[in-house]
Amino acid sequence: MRKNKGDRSFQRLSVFYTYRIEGFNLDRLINGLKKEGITLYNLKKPNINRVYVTIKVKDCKKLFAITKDMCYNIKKIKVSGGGYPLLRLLKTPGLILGAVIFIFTAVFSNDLILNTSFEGSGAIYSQQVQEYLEDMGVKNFTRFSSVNLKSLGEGILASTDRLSFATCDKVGNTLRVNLVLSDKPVQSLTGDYESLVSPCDGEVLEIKAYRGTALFGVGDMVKTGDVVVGGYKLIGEVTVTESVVAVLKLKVEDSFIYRSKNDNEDSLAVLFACANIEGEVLSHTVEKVFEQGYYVYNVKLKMVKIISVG
Amino acid sequence: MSFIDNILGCIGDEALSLETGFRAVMVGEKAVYIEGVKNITGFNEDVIELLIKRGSVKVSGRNMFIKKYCLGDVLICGKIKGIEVFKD
Repeated sequence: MRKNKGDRSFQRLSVFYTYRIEGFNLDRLINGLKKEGITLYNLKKPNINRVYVTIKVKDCKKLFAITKDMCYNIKKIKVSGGGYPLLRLLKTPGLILGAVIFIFTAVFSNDLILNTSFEGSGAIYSQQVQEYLEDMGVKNFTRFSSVNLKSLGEGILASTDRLSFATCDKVGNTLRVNLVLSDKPVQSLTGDYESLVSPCDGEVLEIKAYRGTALFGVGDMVKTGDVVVGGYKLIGEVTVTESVVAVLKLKVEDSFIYRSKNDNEDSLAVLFACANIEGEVLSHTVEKVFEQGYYVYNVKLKMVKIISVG
Repeated sequence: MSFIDNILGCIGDEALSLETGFRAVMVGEKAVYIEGVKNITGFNEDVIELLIKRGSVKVSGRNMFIKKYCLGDVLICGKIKGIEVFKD
């Protein structure tokens, strides 16, 4: 009967039923149960016609099959064992389903962003901040656990110089963004621009028309002098004139010539070219020829040019 | 092989070939564990009689009950006063 630790652990998870059996010749019944492979626990016989016996729940069917045609009164008086709560649960599937739904809802629903709120003096820039959040992949039904709120706040602050403070925190299912305006004076809008004209040839990368009507879309090619944003707005069938407030990002190409008596100065040529432009350089190429005693480096840059009016 | 066999192995082969084929381990007065039981022939709180190979075992005491009974093993708990062996 020596058992190892695993068996003892399993015993703790088993479910036992205790029965009171009344009748004659109970010793014979006990031996019969044992002979059928039923393990009997806590056998107590307070008098000649009554015995208390505890058996595992899996042996109950055997017990009743054996005593089916015998004259015994059998009554279940107790249920015990570490596995009893689990057995009760298995008999009530609705309870298990409800528990699973509750756990799932508690764990996952609280982790979802269902709403974003903006607070503080910088809340007037909520639209720009909202666009930044969407660019970062933070929108409704995004999980809080997949977002680093501290980094998000720092990113919001770095994305604009109009704010001096920005934090994000979780309040229930709401992403609360607290924004504070910067003390630096903001350039005021003059309201003088009738249109936004492209100063050079290029491909439209981004166009934001806060006021006015955009006449080109992302990916369109524009030429020097093209009116990219017009100073008007359509309200129904009526055209209303308004000043333009817009930002345009163009991908443009430009070339620079660098002359030197020395060979292998490609990198230096690129450096000088980049120093003469404003904007982000996307790529560059260098062509080199030797003319009249000089190495002529023709540097072609593809870069992003930002034009804003208002 | 039960753990008792390991112990009896130290005694020698004679101990393993028992005529009555039973072994009993007493734990103070509280419990006695008996292997090699064929049947229970009598059972009450004061006397428990067990049928063994070529004989019987009588356990006497007070407030006794059978803690576990399966196959050929019996664990009797209670206040054990004595064990008697009867050979056929």
